[in-house]
Amino acid sequence: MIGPNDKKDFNDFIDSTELSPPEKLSNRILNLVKADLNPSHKIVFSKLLAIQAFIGFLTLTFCPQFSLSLTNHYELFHYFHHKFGENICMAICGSIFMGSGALFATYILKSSEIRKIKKSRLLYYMSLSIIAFSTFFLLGSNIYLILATYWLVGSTIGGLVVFELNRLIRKEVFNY
Amino acid sequence: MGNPFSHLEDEKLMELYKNGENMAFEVIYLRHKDRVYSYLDKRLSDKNIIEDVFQSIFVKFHNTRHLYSSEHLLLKWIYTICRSELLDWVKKNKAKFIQLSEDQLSVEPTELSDKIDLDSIKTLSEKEKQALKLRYYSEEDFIEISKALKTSEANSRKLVSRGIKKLKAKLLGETT
Repeated sequence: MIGPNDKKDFNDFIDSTELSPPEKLSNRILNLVKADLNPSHKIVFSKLLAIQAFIGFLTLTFCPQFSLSLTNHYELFHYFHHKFGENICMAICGSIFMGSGALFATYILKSSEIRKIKKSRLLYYMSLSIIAFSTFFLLGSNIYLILATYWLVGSTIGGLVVFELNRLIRKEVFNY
Repeated sequence: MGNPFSHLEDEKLMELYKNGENMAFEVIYLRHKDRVYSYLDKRLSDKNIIEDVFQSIFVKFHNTRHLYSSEHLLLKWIYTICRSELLDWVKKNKAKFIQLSEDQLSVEPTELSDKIDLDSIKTLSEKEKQALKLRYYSEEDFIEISKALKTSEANSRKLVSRGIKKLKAKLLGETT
């Protein structure tokens, strides 16, 4: 890390301890780091919601939710529907919707924000699922109680699993 | 209430800090802030610039914390960031880089002694002159200087540092 030419300079660095930075400057740095390491839930949830809204919206191009699609491509929906039945199909669709957002969020958000989500991950993903579900309802989707329950369970579990898996990959493989 | 991590060594603190522990950063900061600030003070003349570079060093330290490996001494890591930020600033601003400490003074001591007559500088106290001569003309270490001046090692460091500062002020006053 330090070449031979820098050795003298490094020794000087070690020996230099006689002056202190102004207290105001120290407080500014300490507060900056503290705020960054402990982001508020409000900010973290807003960011997560924004990522989820954007990515979730994109998934509507290939995976419709409650008959709501951007491109009228229902192939994937029909495949799941025929293969696993109506209820499981809803759960899979929910997990695709929420899992895609979780996948991107784990790499876009800061490590301190990821840690914040991790501490209350169930609450975060349940809230996101309910908000997403409410949005579909407000957009006029055809919603039935049983199917909605499967969708909510699928999206919450899907979001949680993808988040947790990618959080570990980010930490262990990409080391940040 | 004291910081529960204050007894830990740097590398252990860094691991805690990487895992989001703000109090570990506080210990690291308090332990090394004087060293970084004093190092910059010897190399830059403007107080505002010193504060700007100082802050940018700790911001970079924070933003790159995940890149740190405990195989390296934290002090070397901080020094590397410190030096790179200082050089970046100098390059960006094409500033006059003042380096009147160890390197420059000890590389060519005879040349320096030809140029600077410490005895003629009235702002230097007798002890400071002696400390500077011992440090840079005789190339003594601080233990030897403290013995010669019958003072503590810490005080001999302060004498040399104060002497350099006065010398810097004197030289800048003459050249600008």
